[in-house]
Amino acid sequence: MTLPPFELHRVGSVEEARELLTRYGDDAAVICGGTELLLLLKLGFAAYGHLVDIKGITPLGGIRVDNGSVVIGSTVTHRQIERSPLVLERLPALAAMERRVANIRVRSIGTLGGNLCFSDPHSDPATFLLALDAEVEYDGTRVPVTRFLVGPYETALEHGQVLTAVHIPIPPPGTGIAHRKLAFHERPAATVTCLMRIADGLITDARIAVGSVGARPVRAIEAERVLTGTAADDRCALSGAADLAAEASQPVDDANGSALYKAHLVRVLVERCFSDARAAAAA
Amino acid sequence: MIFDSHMHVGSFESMFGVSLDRDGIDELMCGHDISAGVVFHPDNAYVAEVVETIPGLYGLVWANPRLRGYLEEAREFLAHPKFLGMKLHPLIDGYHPNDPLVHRLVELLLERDLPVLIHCGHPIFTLPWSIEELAVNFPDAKIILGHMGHGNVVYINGAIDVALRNPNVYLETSGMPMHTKIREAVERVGETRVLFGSDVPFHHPEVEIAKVRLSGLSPELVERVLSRNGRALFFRDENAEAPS
Repeated sequence: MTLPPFELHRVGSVEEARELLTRYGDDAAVICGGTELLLLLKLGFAAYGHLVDIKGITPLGGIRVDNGSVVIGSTVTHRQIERSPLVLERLPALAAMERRVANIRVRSIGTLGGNLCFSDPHSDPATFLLALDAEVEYDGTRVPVTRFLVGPYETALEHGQVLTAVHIPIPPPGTGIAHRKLAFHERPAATVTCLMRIADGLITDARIAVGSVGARPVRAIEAERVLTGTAADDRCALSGAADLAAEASQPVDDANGSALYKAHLVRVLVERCFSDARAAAAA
Repeated sequence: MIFDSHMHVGSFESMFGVSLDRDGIDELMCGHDISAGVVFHPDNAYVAEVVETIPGLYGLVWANPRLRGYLEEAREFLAHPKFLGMKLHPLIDGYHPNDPLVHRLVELLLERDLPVLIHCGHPIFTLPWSIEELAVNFPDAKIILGHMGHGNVVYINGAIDVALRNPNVYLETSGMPMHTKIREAVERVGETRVLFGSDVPFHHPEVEIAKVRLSGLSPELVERVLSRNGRALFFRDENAEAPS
C-alpha cells in the first residue's frame, strides 16, 4: 500500500482553506490529522489531488471555557484533550473517554474535528458528545452533533465548509457520566455513553447514546424517557431501558458480529454504563 | 504483526516490584508491533475492563481451584466475548496441576475448545513432568507450558521432551533465557506448537522478540512463532486478527 501523489496545501486561515477547496472542487479535501483519510487514500477508496491541511490555523487550536461550555478547537488532538488540565478539571469524563480512543499513535495525531468530520459510525467521541448535547461550529453557526452526523461517513458539512470548534456543555455538579465500549478490532464493536442526575433518590435527567453498532450513533430517547423519574436503583426500569436502547441503536450485521449479538452487547453495556454513571453521580 | 501469548496487567508490586496498567499495556503493544495477544491477572474483573477497551487484546481467566466458587467464576468469565482460555499458576496459588479440582476446570475448557496456559519451570508444582500428568489425563485439552521450563536448562529440556511426547502440549517462550532452545523446540516438537510470549511487565517485549529473531530459525519460522502459532491456537486461524 502506497499513498498516491497529491499536493499538500498548508493554510493559515479558514478563508484560505475555503478558497482552495472552492478552487479545486471535488479534487480537494480537508486533512486534519489524516489518521483516517490517509488510510482511505492508501487503500484506493478515495482519491484527491489536493489536501488542504488546516492544522496550522491557530484560531482552530486550543481548549477554553466559554459560557458554561468547554470549547475545543477542531484541530486539537485526542492526546491534547486527554491531558488538558482544563478538561481534567471541568469535564473529567471527556478526558477518560479520550484516553481510550484507538491507540497512542492515533491519539497523538488524530483530532477531534477530524474524527467528527469523518463520521465513522464506530467513533467514541461522537457517541460521547451526543449524550452531552454537544454542538459543532462552522460558518459562524452552531449545530447539534445529532444533526451534524447524518450517516456513515457523511456529515451536514457542505464542500468548502470547515468545522472550527466543538462546544460541550459542562453538566451541573452531581451529574454522573460514564462511557464504555467493547472492541475486538481496531474500531469498537459497541460504544455507550450514559449521563444521569439524581435528586432525592430519583433520576431527574437520564441520557443514553449508543454508537458503533448501527449506521450512526443515536440517542435512545425512549429509554431515557423510561428512566427519568424512576428510582436510581430500579433494576427493572434499567433492564427495560437497556432493551429500548438496543432497539433504538438499530444494529447491523458486520465483522463485529450479527445484529442480534450487537443488540445483546448494547443491553449489557447500557446496564454497566448506567451503573457507572449512577456511582459517579453519587460520588 | 506479533501475537503475544503471555501478558500480565495490574500491580505486582508486593512480590515483584513491577506493575502495568491499561494505558501501559496499550502503549507497549503499539510500540512493539504486538497487534494481538492474551493478558491475565488474578483479578478477572479488572482484566475484563482492560480488554474491553483495547482492540486485539484478549483475556485468559485466572482460575485458582483453592478458592471457593472458582468454577462459577471461571464459567462467568469464559462466557465473556473477550476471554479466550484460562491461565493457571499452580506455583503461586499452591496446588498440583493434576489435582482433581483442576480436572473440573479442564472439563470447562474442553466443552468450549479453549486452551489453558500453565506457568512452567519452578518446583514444586510447575515442573513440566507434573503438568504432563494433566496432559496425559486430558489428551484433547490444549495445554501451553508458559515459559517452557523458565530459567533452568533441565526444566527447559524437560518441557521440550514433554511437548514431544504429547501432541496436545504447546511451548511458550517468555522468560526462557536460551534463544537457541526456541529453534531446538521448533525442530523437535514441530513448527506449529511453539508460541511467542513476552511476559510483560516481568520481561521486556524487545528482549523477548529479539530472542525469537536471533534463535536461528528461518524468517518464515520466526514469523510463525511470533505471530501465526498464537493466532492459530487462540483465534483458530493463523492469519486472523480476531477469533473466528
